[in-house]
This record gives sequence, C-alpha cells and structure tokens, in this order.
Amino acid sequence: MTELLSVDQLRTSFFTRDGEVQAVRGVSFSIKEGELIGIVGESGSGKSVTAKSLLRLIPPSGQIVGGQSKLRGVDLLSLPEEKLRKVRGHQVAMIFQDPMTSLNPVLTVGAQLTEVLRRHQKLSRRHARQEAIEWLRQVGIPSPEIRIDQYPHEFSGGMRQRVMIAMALSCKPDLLVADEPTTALDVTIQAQILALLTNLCKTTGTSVLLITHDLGVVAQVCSRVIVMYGGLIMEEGTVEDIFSAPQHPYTKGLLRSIPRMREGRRERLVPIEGSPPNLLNPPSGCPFMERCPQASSECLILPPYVESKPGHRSLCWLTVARKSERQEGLQ
Amino acid sequence: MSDNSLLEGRGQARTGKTPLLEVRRLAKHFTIEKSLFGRTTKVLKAVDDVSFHIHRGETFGLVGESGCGKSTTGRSVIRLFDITSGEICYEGIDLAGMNERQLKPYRQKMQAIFQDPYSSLNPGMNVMELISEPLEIYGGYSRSNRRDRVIELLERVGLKREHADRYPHEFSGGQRQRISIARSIASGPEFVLCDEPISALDVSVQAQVVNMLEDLQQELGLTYLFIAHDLSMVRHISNRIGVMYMGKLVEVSFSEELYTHPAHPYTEALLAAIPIPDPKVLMPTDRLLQGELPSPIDAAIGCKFRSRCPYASRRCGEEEPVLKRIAPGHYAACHLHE
Amino acid sequence: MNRMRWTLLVSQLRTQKSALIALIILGIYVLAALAAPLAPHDPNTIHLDERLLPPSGQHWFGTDDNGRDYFARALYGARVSLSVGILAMLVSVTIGTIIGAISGYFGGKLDTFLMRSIDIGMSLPSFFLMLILNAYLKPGVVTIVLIIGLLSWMSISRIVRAETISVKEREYVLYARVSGQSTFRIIFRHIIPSIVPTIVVAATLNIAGVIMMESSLSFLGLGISPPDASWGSMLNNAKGYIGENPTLALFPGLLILTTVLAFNYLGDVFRAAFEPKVNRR
Repeated sequence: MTELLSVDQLRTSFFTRDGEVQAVRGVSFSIKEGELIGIVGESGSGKSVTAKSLLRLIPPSGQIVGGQSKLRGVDLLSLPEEKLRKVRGHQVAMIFQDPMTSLNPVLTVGAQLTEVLRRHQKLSRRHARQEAIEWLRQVGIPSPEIRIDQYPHEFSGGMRQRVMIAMALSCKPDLLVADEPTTALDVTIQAQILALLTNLCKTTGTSVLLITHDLGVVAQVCSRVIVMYGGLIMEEGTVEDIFSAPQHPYTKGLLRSIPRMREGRRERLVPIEGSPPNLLNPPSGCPFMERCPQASSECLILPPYVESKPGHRSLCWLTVARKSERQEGLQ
Repeated sequence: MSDNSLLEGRGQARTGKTPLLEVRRLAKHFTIEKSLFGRTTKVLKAVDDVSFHIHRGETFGLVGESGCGKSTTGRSVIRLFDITSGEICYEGIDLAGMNERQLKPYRQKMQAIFQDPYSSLNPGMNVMELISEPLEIYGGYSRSNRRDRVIELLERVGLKREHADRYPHEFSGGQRQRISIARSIASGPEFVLCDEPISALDVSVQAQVVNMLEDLQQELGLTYLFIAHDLSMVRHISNRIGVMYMGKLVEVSFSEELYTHPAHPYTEALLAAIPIPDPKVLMPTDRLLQGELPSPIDAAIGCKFRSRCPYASRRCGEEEPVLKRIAPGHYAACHLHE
Repeated sequence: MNRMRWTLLVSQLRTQKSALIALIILGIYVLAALAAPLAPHDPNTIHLDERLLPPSGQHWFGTDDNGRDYFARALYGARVSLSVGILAMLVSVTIGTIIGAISGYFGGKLDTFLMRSIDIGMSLPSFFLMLILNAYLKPGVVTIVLIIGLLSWMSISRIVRAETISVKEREYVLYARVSGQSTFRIIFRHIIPSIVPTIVVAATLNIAGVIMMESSLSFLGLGISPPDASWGSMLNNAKGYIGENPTLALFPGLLILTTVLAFNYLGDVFRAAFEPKVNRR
C-alpha cells in the first residue's frame, strides 16, 4: 500500500482572551491507501482539531501554527484557498457528528446530492438525479425515489447521516474524514452506520480517518489506532497491538476503565484518577504525568517516540527503558 | 472495599421482601396537538403500561434507545410531573395522586442526579450554596453546622474544602457530577434516580463516577434507578435491568441473565449492536437491527417491535404481547415465549 | 447571576467604542440631572425682558418665551424625563417579569388566560388609553409613571415567559423541584436570576420607549404640569416659536434623541454580550 496522507509536526492553537490554547502540539502520522485508521481520545485531547486542521476547517479563533499535511505529496496547509476548495469534497471528504448542521434545511436532499454530483462529475441534470437515487439506495435509504424530494427535517438522525455518507462518497474521494459520525446516534443505528461506512469504503478503496471517543467503535472498525491525549499522540499501533499489548499507561488506564464482564464476576472498575491537563499552560513534559500511576521525575521531560515493535510506537519513558533493556539483553 | 463485600451487599438486597418502590401500570401521555376547542387530538404515549419494582439497596437499570420513554419513566417515578394513570408506590404508599405538599416528605427520601453536568448546576450559585440548598429545606442545620456538613459531603465525593466557594464553570464535567452527587445525598435520601449520570462524561471519568455511586450505595444503603443508554455500564452497575422500547417494558431480568440469555428479539439486537472493545470479538453483523423506529404517535395494534423484528409473525400484528414470566425473575413481552 | 457573563459584558463594552460613548452620554445626563440645583439660573424665574434670547455665554441654551434660562430648564427637565423613564421602566419590568415567570412556569390554563389577556391588552391602542386615564387622574410625575408603567409591561412579560419556559426544563430547575423547594423559591432563586440578561436587555430598550412616551404625552400637554418642565413639555412649548427661535425645539429634541439612541444602542450591546452562542463551557 502506498502512502496517501502524511501529517508532520502539526500544531494548532486557539487564541482566546486567556491566552494560547495549544490544542494540537506536534502530531505526525500517515495514512495508507485504503486504510481505516482511528484516532481515539477524550474531550480536549485534540483529536477533532487534528482532523479539522487537515482540511483547514478550524474556527477563526484557531490557527495552524506549524507542520505539514501532505496529500499525495501536496501540502494542504500551504495550498491557496482556491485550490484547497477543490481538494475538499473531491479528494478528501468529511462527515461530522451532527448531520443536521451539514445539510441545508431549505433544500431537498436530492437537490444537495445532485449538486455535488454535477459539480464533481459534470453530469447532466437527469443523469445526476438517477445517480443520486442510486447513491441513496446504496446507503440503505428505503424508497429513494420518494425520499430524494424530501427535506432534511423529514429524515431521522441515522437517515441524515446516511445522506451525508452518500454525499461524501459520491464524489469518490481518496480519503474520508469522519469526525464522531455516530456519537449522536443510538446503538442500533450506530451499528448500521458503521457497517455501511466500512463496507462502502472497502469496496471503493477509500481511506478513512475515524475520530471517536469510543474504544469499542475503533476495535470494530479500524485496522490501526492513534491514541491522543493532551494534544499529543500517546501511542499508535494496529488494533490488535493496542488492545492486547498496550504500552502507554494512559492506553492501559483507558482500557481498564471500561467495564468488562467475565462470567458471573463483577469487577470493580479501575478509573484514571484526576482530570485532563489544561492546554492553556500545557506541561512541558508528559501530559499524562499528573494522572499516571507510574510517573517519575523523568517524565518532566517529554520522552521520544519509541517503537516496541515495528509499527507500534508510544510516547513514554517506560517504553524507552524496556527497549534499551531488550537491546542490552540481545547484546 | 473488596469485590467480595460488594457482592455480599448485593446478595442481601435480592432477598429483601417488600420492594421499596413499586410501579404499577404507569402511563404518561403527552398531548401533541389540540383542536380549536382544546380537545386533545394527537397523543404521544411516552410511557405506556409499565410495571416494575425495585428492592431496597438494589440498582435497577433501565435501558433503551432515545425516545423509548426511559427518562420519562424515571421522572414520573420521582413525580416531576403528573402521570396519566397508574400507581407509584413508595414503601406501599401511592405517590401518584399526591400534590406537592403531600409529596414533600418523599422529596427528602427520593433524590436525583441528572445527565448534563453543565445544566444541572445553577451557574449563578457557588458550590456551598448548591449543596446546602437541600440542607436548608430539610436538615435543621444551623448555618455553621451546614458549612461543616457541606465540607464533609465535598470530601466524601473526592473534592476539596476550598472548592466550596467556587462556581460551577470552574469545574470539569466529572467534578461537576461529583457536586451533583454530593447535593443529592445531602438530605439523606433512600432512593436516587440516576438519569444518564455518566453519558456526558469521558470514558476515564465515567469509571470514577460509577465507582463513587457504588461506594455510596454500600455505605448509605441507597437504592438506585439507573437510566442509561450505555449498555455495558448499565450491566456493570445494575442488579436487575429493564429494557424499554417505544414506551413499553419489553424485558426485565437479572443483569447477567439478560446479557447471557436475552429473551426478547429487541434485547438481542440491542446487545448485538454494542461495539465490543476487543478487535478479536467481531460484531455479529448478521444480527444487526434493520430499519428505524416507527413514529411513536401513530398507535398501531400489535407488537410495537414487529416492523423491525426478524421473527415477526401474523400474530404479532394482531395481538400485543404482555410481560410474561419465562424463568425465575425473568420476564419478557414476546409471543415467541409462550 | 453568572460572573462570566459580567466579565464578558465588560470586555464587550471595552472593545465596542460606540457602546462606551453611549454609556458616557447617559452618565453625563444623569450627573447633570443630579447636579441641576447647581445651575447658575433658576429654571422657573420669569424675566419678561429677556424673552427668546439666542444661546450665549450668559444663557448657554438661550431663554424661552418667558425669559427663563433654557439650560436650567433642560437640566430640571432631565430630572423629570430620566426619572420617569427609570421609574416607569422599573414598574413595567417588575410586573412583566413576575407575570411572565408565573405564566411560563405554571403553563396550562393559567398561561393561556394570562397570555390571551396580554394579547387583548396589547391590541388596545395604549396611547389612546393613556390620554383618557391622564384626563381623569391628577397630572404629575407619579401618575405618569404609573400610567406608562402599567401599560408597557406586556411585551416584557412575553419575553420573560418564553425564557422561563426554556429555563424551566434545565436540569437544575428539575433538581430544585425534586428536592422539594417551594415554587416561590424556584421562581425567584433559580428561574429569574437565570434570565436576568434577557430582562436587562428588555429593560434598557423599555427605558427608551418610556422616555419617548413621556415626551409624547408632555408634548401633547398632558404630562408634567407647568411651570415644571420635562424635555417633552419643553418641545411642546417650543412649537409656537419655531420661526422666531428654532433652538428652543432643537435642544430638547436633541436631548431626547441622544438619550433614546444611547439606551437602544446599549440594549443591543447587552444583547450581543449575553448571546448564548458564546462558549459557555
């Protein structure tokens, strides 16, 4: 698989009355063609800002202060607005948590969908309408011939998210950025949408960057996971590695704090004590230090990323120590 | 506190005889449309003929998707509004027809924690004022005693003495929920309605709050009605669980029994839809529920789940199933279990 | 009320220069009204030899048809106009807030009754009513305050009712009910403090309207009884001498205009500052 998107040292800050809030503090990762990759994190971890920064879709008080985000070698962060607009929706599409705000309430669903199709594929009006109906059918909307002439408010939340997916994928993007696409939905609908999203993207070969706070969603949908905390990537690896052999104390804590049942035994939950750091004055060392049960004075300095095995890296002095031990053992 | 003592406490709860709270045939209808002369023409049956009971010291979970009536049920139980019909018996006394004055002694015993940590605390009051409010109404504390009691409560929920003079916006979501908890136990209640208390919190903080609720239950002998849509958390905290669908209770059982042997097709689908945080256990995509909720306003005859049910038969369209006992302590409303 | 909102308001005032100007203008007028007795001339002493003088160093605003110092009259007129404005606003805001909060909180038949009554009240031509009432009652500041106050609370109570309905569903109000607090306490401790921003905006805009009403009444000769003056009655008086001394109409007219504009402008700034879209988390 070739590399589709590579993000390098992305930094995004929000300038508020109280000062600079460093939401994303140097994030680097890459996405391969056809890959489903997830970013998990709690609120304030910077996961959503990272996703929005890729397309320069952050609100005016925010500013990308550094880094690169290269899509097939073209840096999206330095691209003129005019050219970036062509990238958005064409090569990179995005869906959000609340589909109601992304759909225009005064236009029919069909009008919005055909507009996208006509702009990107230069189809005739009749042809575009047929194509739109076909897309609605593909995303599982019953009787699309009738639904196409209805307005967004006549659709339920799940149905609107389906429409958004249809709009996003109809222009055959290389990358779909999905920012908490199922958070507002009920579990049974969430399961439907996730199944739809993964199936469609697998058949079209679209890469997906899925932003979520739900570890279950990531485990079910993605092949690779990025764990973010305090504006930094704490750990990155395949889902199998992250869920069965987590390296970072934060990831471990996160996994322990979700209830797991073994037959007949009620286990007490193990929460991570404390609350996330204030990014107005982020600690210069490890952002998780304050809440980490294994913190030491070493953590006042930010550790380097170390791979515990190829493709599985984490940002923790413990990983550094384990790695050097292993190397010594080899010698 | 060890896991063992937790389990023992729960065991005792199950053997209790008369339930603390018994809800019989509860119904709450909302008027959607009125004719010109004030006659009700369209009705939303938010809760329709729901019965269950909660034992002293027990946690009863109520789950279901948004709009299923679980919150309305909870709010009816603590009489946040007048109910349409049915009985709500607290220690055998029916609260359903009481007015606010008659309810007052029960208000002290029945408390609530709500979902949104941002709107459940009055932004204009500091923590001291917030927590001492129920004390002013019931406690009979003097001013200085009240302050001591508030500080004691704050420390009990893991906050500090100096937090007493701060305002809600200075706290994180998890801390606010702790303040809500301190406030709800201030009057010394027996029963606490937990209306989605963790849904708005981050995963790592949810566990803190759930542990705290469990500890307080142990210590103070509290009884919970725990409402949530996060099924794995409900399973963790509840002794028994009720599943609601479109205003109806479709299944009630002990939590382990419910998760291992779901009897109602809706429960089965609901459980299948939980994304499991383990990449090795894949979701059973073949059991995913198709379709969406039908409109709750059009009253249809028969089983309300039949439009999405893989096992629906002709009978389901003609006759509405009622809750029937299918195993000890396990009830389901489905024609499959006849 | 929420402290954050106040800091927000202060910063809003600081960044918006024109809001500051409005505040300064109103501050000057209020100070001037308070300091009226320090004026060099008596407002009611008649000097028939000094009639209709143009503005000069001696008489800053000139003199009126009876030779009275127009500047002193404008100062005393400010006392009447501003105090009528503020008092009538207080009357209408108090009534409007209480009725609106009760109507919104209880809902149901009481709400329907109150709101239909307000509809009827608002469909009556209030200015006409004022004229009639004024004719039967003893003219004076108290009468005019009550008349204006009692006839202008309806729109405020509508706004308050709408806000109450939304606030009443907030979880802290639900909690207050769960914890068995009295209805009186819920309304005055939880609901009204939460809608103070809305009330402040409504009150500011209401003052502007009330000052206009008082001026109109006085202009028609129905407000303050002579020889005392308000800006409106000064304007009324000036209409006979527009040709000879137009400054007589100009000064009270400008004062009314700037005051009303300033209050309206402040109302808009308050509204912007309290807008819920600002990040409350």
